[in-house]
Amino acid sequence: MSVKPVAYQPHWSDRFYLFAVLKGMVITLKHFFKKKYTVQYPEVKWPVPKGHRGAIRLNKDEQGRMLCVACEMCSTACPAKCITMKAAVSPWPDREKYPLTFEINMLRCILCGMCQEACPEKAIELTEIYDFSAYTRQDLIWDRERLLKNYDLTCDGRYFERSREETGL
Amino acid sequence: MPTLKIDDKEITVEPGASVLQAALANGIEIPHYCWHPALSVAGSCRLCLVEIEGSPKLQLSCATEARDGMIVRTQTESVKDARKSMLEFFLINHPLDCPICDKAGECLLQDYTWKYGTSHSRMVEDKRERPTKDLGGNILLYRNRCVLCSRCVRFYQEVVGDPYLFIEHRGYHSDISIFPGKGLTHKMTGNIVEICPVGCLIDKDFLFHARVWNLQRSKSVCPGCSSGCTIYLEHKDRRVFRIRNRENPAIGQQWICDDGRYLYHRYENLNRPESPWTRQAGELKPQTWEQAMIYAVEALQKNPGRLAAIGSAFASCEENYLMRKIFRQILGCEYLSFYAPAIEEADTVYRSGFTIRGDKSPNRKGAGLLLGDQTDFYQAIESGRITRLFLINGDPLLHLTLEQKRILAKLQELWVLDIQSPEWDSVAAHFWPIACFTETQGTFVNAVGQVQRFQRALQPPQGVRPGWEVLLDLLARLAPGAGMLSAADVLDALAMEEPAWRSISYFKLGDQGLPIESR
Repeated sequence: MSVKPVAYQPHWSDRFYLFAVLKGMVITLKHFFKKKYTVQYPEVKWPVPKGHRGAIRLNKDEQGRMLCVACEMCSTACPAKCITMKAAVSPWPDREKYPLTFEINMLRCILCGMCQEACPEKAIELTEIYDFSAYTRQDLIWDRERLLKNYDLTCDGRYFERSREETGL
Repeated sequence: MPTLKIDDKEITVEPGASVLQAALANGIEIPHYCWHPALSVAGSCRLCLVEIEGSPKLQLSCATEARDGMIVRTQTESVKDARKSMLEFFLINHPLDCPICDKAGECLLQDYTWKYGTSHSRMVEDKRERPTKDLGGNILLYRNRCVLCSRCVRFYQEVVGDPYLFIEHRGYHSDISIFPGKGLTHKMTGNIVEICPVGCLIDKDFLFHARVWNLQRSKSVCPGCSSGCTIYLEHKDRRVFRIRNRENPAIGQQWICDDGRYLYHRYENLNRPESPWTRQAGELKPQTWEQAMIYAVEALQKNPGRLAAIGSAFASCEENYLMRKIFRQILGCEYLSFYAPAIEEADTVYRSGFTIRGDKSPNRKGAGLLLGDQTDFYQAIESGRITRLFLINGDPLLHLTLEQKRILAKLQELWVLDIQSPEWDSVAAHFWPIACFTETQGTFVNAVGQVQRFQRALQPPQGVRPGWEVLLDLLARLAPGAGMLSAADVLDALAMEEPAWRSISYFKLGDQGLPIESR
């Protein structure tokens, strides 16, 4: 197959450029009055749809105690083996066992939600928090207090309305 | 010998065996709670029901003797229905608190319900609730979980020979209870936790420490006394969590005592140096293993003085054998002996024949066969027969008296291989840290002459090496070409040399071990 080179011969109106500039300005002007899609992140956060599997939280009961009974079902179900805990005799009379330490290695976590499925007490849940980056690896190994804080941030469903100072994220 | 048919399988058994024993020995599973191979037949759980041709009703397989020509079926609809109904009964008051129950994962109620039971309960009433009771010692009684199999009650009557537990009240109100004024404070309590088929009896020592499916098992031998009971070390994350009984019919010890069961605590928090140290101008100076070895090879061969070697009843046969090889055959020492603690108590024999020995060292017999009679080396030091000493120990409870320290200080040079150093800080010239029994492998010879192998469960800490490896290293530097690389090689070399070990090799030993040949 032979190729025949043809020289580009723009029309005079294209070579004038002013029409093209005006056309672009019209499009910009149209969008000026349309609904806006950009979000001023991180001051404003885009709310994810319900069911999003983000950062993990440890739930609390009405009295503010953690629900977890340290049965290790979550760490057994976890395919990434990122949950470790140390159980102890609970200080409360209505249950026997509670986690003395509870650690989730978020570097390893794949956010699959198996822990949530396995939990017999509905004590561990995935939340809508998606932006939990950190400056050091150690900051992403979350302890019990960090996971309970996630509950405080998300329990009322108003995580995305909170300020950066409040969430610390 | 009666021959019967179970599920169309021809089975020949010893006369007097029950149908249940015949089935279990041939790989046919019949669920059961109250029957235990070491205890009498109770027939109380009603779970082992089978269909026997000629009987109008289902029969208890644990209490029916196998007869010639019997035809037994374990998988018919009526048998399955009976099991299902029995399991439903067991579960009406069971709290189903598996997530926080330490037995979960090795619980027969879980396993049988999963295999033979129903997935739901028809119980609409509230479950009966009974508070947990502390039975004393290390035992907690979770009364809600009990299935009243009476294994624990029979264990005390038949094995210990002293009834501690009994079933209080009758029928629906039945409850395991302890005789007033008694507490479970004797040495066999841990076994009832192991034989309990459900999570009713729980060990406080293990309470909530780990889930059983996360633990790894290593086959080991208890170093607590010269009975040499076979055990499982159950460990996770470089820590032993509990010790379980590993039955060994060859030595006739069906249980383990509490001394052995909680013995692993002795090996926790040892004060262990991270490298060998040597005394220089009165100060303990850390060395690398290479430096320590190079010095020892030269010093052992060249320094003047009367050298002696002391093995240990806590060291494995391999280590004692290497001591003999290095110091008698290569360095030509005259004085060889071994350390063993004094026997302070008599043997305790329980009704079933289970024995706790008064000799609290695991390998006195092996060390004696390899190193000759135990002699008082302190006297020999005092009299000047020994001026330099190479000593191995593995006893975590070793305590030197002031008199012994005074005598040891007279030595020109003292090498010590031990699992912890504080006792030796003031007397030893050189200290080499070696691994304790959970971190090394080897063999012990128990009081009745059974050679038994123990496996390594944990990794030794940084800088600590197994005793056999250290001695093998020393041997290779003193006399290259011994051709031994592992503990297995050492045992095989030992078996070639020593007539008592003639019929033994590392791989022939297996899980049960082999007896040494008596001279």
